[in-house]
Amino acid sequence: MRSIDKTALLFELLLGTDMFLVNQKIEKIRYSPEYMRLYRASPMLSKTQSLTDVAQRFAKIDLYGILSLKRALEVEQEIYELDRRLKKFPSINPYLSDGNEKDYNVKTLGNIGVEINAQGMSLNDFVTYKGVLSNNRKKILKLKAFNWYKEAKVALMEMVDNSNLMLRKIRNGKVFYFSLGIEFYLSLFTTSILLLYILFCPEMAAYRANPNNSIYNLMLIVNLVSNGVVMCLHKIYASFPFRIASAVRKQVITQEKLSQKLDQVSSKFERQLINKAKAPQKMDILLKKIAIVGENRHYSPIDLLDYAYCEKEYYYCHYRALLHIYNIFFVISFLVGITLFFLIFLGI
Amino acid sequence: MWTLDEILRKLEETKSYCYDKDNHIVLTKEQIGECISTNFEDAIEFYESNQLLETFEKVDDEIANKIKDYKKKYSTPEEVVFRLQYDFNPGLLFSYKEFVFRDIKQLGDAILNKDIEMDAVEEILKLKLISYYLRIKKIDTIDEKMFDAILLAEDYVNRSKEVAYYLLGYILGDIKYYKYGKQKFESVIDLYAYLSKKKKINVFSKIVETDPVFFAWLFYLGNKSIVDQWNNIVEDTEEKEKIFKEERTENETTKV
Repeated sequence: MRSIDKTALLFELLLGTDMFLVNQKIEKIRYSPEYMRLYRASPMLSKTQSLTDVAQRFAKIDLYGILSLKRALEVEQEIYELDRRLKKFPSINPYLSDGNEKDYNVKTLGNIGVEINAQGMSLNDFVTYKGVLSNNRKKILKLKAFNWYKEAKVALMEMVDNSNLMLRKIRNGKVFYFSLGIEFYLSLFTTSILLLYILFCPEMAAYRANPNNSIYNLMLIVNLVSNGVVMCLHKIYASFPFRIASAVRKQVITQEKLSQKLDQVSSKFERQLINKAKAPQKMDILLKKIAIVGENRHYSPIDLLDYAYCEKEYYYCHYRALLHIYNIFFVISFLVGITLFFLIFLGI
Repeated sequence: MWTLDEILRKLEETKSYCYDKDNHIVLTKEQIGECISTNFEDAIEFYESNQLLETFEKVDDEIANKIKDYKKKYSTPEEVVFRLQYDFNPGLLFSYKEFVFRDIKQLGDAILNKDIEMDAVEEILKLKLISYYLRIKKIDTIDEKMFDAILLAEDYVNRSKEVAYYLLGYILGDIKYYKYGKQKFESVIDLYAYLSKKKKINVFSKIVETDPVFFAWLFYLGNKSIVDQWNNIVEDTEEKEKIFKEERTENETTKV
């Protein structure tokens, strides 16, 4: 057992359940070879598995004696999610290929409400100490509040950093032109040639003088409409990165403002908690602030991660219908254009 | 002032505490106690040669019986003589061999200022002399918390003399904080908040296990049961890890 784990464990025992340190420990366990080996060797978790099975399975992993079943399941879920996303986006593995991987951790905001409920209390009861009579219990709750607060604050700060990092990536990314491929240019090219041919080619003079050939007209209209649709979709696609970047920028600005406010109150708040704080009222304010930050998340870190690292896949997954429409119209436009060429050459 | 040898000879002659019958001058028990205290090494010699017992069998049955009891109860002469001096004179200062302290607080200060060697304190703790002294002075009922902490230090000395030594310093002395670097901490949460904020937990973890002052401080703050629990978990986990590694090695060998 490494000295850092021993020390972390000692502090956990001394301070009660310290979620911040537990999180750190879980991160370490998550990437430890032992865990990964067991994880790969074990069958995937399914809804049909009984809790006993799960408990037995995690008893093997619980080397450090502090990984509770609940936390282990959460870790399992996180790994499962990571695995799912990597399978879905095989072209890029952000955790292995990008130099920024160490600076970026996917972290969710600590679910304080759930933690409080797990203590058998409602949020309101918690912040008012309702029904808490013994000083010892109050002390424990205060300690827990402190730990939750620290966890939430770290998560918030990380979220702001992550959003900033993602924003930089989005701004620097060349997303669009490589995402839609060659189809757009091919479609544009064939239609342009077709139009030039019809408008300026000497063989088409008779048609231009008397454009009553209904097949030519119909095909030309279909081709032009299809191309119009393709161009519109192209334009809509082109605006997505800017829209997302704009929304993320707004999100970052809001989050930064909130984190600055939080920082302003937090040092005082921490001091009060450490000393003889009357934590509950302050905790109430803090929880509200964290809730506001949560509401201001237009894009979750996972979405942003997908977007910044796996652009093509992100488009494919999020705008699949639009992409299919785009492809259908491209095919129509292309086929009609080619057919029209043949008809003109054959002189029908 | 008479030496212990002279006192014993006088007592042998008179067979009572009264050494001048004409003038009714009595050799007091307090004087004898003080004499034992100042001539501790001589007292040990007289005890070992049974002269002490033989003399008091002639003079004072009560003291003679106590010496016999102590002889049965305690294995070392130091323990017997230390107790005996207080039987003669309960008002004596804390005195053991060449060490004399005005009170136990002075002993605490001596520990924290490193004026007394660890080996000497270890001996005092192993023989449980401080708790005896506190009982004599009735401090055990006045300050139960301190008395319990002293008992803990006396018990813990067999496990780690360094931790017990510093724990005694914390209990008796004026210094109640733990010093890490230039910072002084009065509670675990203060220390934890500092380490988290400065991201020093990793650095701290490298020295913590070998720092008896830290554990003494934790004990002083009343975390003995938690440290014990931690020790058990660590031992258990290391045992599991060992088994895990052995199994893995076996599996790898089998595969090869």
